[in-house]
Amino acid sequence: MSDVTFKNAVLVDTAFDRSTGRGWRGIVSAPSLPSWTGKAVLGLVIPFLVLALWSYAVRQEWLAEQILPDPRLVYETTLDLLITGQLPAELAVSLGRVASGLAVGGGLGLLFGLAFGLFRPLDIYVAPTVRAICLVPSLGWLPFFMLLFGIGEALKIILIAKTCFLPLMVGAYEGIRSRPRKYDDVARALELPWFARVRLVVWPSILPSILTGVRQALSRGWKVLILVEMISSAAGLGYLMMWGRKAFQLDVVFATMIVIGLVGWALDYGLTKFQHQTTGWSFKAAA
Amino acid sequence: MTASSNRVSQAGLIWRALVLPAALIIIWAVLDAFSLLNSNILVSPTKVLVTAYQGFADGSIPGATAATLLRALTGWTIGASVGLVVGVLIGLSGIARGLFDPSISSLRQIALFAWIPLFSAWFGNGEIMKVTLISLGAFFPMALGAQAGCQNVPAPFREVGRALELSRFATLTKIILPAAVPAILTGLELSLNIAWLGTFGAEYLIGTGYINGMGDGLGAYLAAAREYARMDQVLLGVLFLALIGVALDRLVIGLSRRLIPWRTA
Amino acid sequence: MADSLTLSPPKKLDAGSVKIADVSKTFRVEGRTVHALDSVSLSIEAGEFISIVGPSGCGKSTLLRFLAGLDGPDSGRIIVDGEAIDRPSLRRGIVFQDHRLLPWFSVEKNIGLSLHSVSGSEVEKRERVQYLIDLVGLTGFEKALPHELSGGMSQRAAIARGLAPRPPLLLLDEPLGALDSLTRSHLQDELLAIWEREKCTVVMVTHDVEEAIYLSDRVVVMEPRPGRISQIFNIRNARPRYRDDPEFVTTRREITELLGSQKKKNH
Repeated sequence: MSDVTFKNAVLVDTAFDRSTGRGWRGIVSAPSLPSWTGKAVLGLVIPFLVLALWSYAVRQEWLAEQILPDPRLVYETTLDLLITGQLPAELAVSLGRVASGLAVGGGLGLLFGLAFGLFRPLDIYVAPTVRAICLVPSLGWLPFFMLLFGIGEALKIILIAKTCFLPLMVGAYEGIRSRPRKYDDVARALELPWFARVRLVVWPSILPSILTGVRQALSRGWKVLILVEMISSAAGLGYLMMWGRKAFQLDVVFATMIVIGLVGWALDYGLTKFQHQTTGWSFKAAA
Repeated sequence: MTASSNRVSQAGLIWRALVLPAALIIIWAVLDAFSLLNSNILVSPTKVLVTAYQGFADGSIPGATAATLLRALTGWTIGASVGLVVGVLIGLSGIARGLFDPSISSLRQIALFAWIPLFSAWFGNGEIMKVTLISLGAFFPMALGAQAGCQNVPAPFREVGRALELSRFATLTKIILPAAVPAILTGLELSLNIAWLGTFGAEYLIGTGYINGMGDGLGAYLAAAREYARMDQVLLGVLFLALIGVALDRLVIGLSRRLIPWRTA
Repeated sequence: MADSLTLSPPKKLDAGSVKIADVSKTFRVEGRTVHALDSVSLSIEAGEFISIVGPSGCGKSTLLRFLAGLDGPDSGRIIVDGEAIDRPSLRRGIVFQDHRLLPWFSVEKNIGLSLHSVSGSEVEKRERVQYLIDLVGLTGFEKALPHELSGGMSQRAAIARGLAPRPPLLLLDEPLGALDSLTRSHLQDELLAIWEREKCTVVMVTHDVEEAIYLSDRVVVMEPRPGRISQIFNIRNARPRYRDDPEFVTTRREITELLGSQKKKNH
């Protein structure tokens, strides 16, 4: 979706993800489907119908070809763009921007979040201002940043950095503030030295909420990037899409949309997997 | 956020929170007084105030805000209504879930603004395109919230329904939907956020003229302000965007708390 | 850093003696002063198994936290093996009621964590951890995460963690309080076996009078407001003890009546 910077969104998204992820618990009145294949077949019914209707519409020439290209053309164009390397190249540019934005903004967010969580005076005097600034959505900053930084590479990185800042700041801050204190007594009783205490007791306990922050940051950063590339860029997926639109090559637009969706999904899926691998306990442990 | 410690009172926290912004504004004003600011990039605070006054006097800011607000609310109403129906359906019926869930989950992955080129080719750059886009954005969180809410009704509640031998319809209206209300409201809030930002994004993108057309609303106001490098107008527009976004958010949260008292349960 | 502990078995048999002298502690709760402990004195010999029972608010858990070195008294001294306590130490293992296993580490790593600050080779530590896992009957669950364990198994792992650095003094804060009665009586026997094998001093806080009599050499009964020792019962019956033994039943009735009279006095 778009970039949502309001603070409750952070919690909401994960709540949804989790509840839909563990559907087995909530499966309700209706009989659940027999098997995995049955589910796949059922899930493909709608896409298949849409595809059929689409092909029929094209054959009957209901709409101009520039407005509704043949699905086969979309398929061919996608393959073509992949093979010629144009799509991978644009994708690499986009991913590079997201990565640097995440590194800069996420890194700063992590530092600020940790600082606010650990030092009460900073939390009292500085955090409210930072939060107020973050209340202005990234999208709102776009015109301001465009005036300040022009429309070059810096604009994209800074905007993504701004987007990635908040989820990591909130993640780190909440991680520290809601950290279970009872383990501190354990660390003291076991005479763990300072560094071991941070590494073995404190860090693992805040890691889950930091990783959730990273996941949020990536998914929002990706969405903001597409917009800013559409507005001002000579490379990247958003640019490719805009180019296709202006040239009235909607097959290119469709191909790019598919890739944008797939990459967005893959980023989220990969990170969720990673999260379950590294901090799987936090999904199961009963407080 | 501002969880009051036992030493600092609530008022004390607010007072301390304002120290930094006040200091920044003073520095800004002092720099301006000694004309140390590059007036093209960092305008003076008084100039922003003057622009605000002018904007209100000639009606350009209220007009732009009203256009954006109307558009966002229209799209939100359409998108959230459809989302509610579809979400409840998917949440209740296994067949509907099997049919729609994979398609919806896949479409959800496509960033909202990535639909703009396609929609603008299909619907032009006018009102239909914008409202379609906003509705689409508002649809997903609402559908997801309603689905999660209906799917995760705690088993004890369902058992009450069974024990009282309620009919299917009564179970739905008296047990499942009320239990799903908190999740539905969260979906409603989230979809309003997205509708608001989606409206702005669409207006701004079209306002930049990259796709032919200009349009109106806060997005177009900001796009024009940037075009003419009017930093005062940009600051004002950004401020308005944020303030109204927060106000909308608070309004919906406040209303829903009042209307549905068991939400925190 | 850790005291000079060794992982190897031989150790002084007389280690683990405790002397609590005139310990007092007051808390301020909502403007009122609460005497959690009021000049409590108690001597514990090395190798003894002591239970402390009493109603909530009698300061028994506070006393145990003092023994662990997690908190300190307002006045009075606590001396273990001739040294005054001023901080937590691996020489005094503690087992909390809510096991407090770190949820992100496996059983193995949780137990190994208490050897982090102990000198010794990795191989030696690993052997010690495996020995303890076998001792508390968790063989096969080395890699399990805490959330995969039952309540009884978690508490066994926590006991193993407390025992790992071979503390001369083991402190148990209602270690079996959250378990069902069957698991509980089973673990009581295991606790006795472990105590006989490790030959450490044990101080256990509990609210289960029967458990206290079943396990201990002495049962210390405390009373609340202000927290004081009201009576100490010597349990001389040979182990294994039987809960329907006449002497057992008599002692249990005496302690229960003593606790009951405290309740009347306070209301």
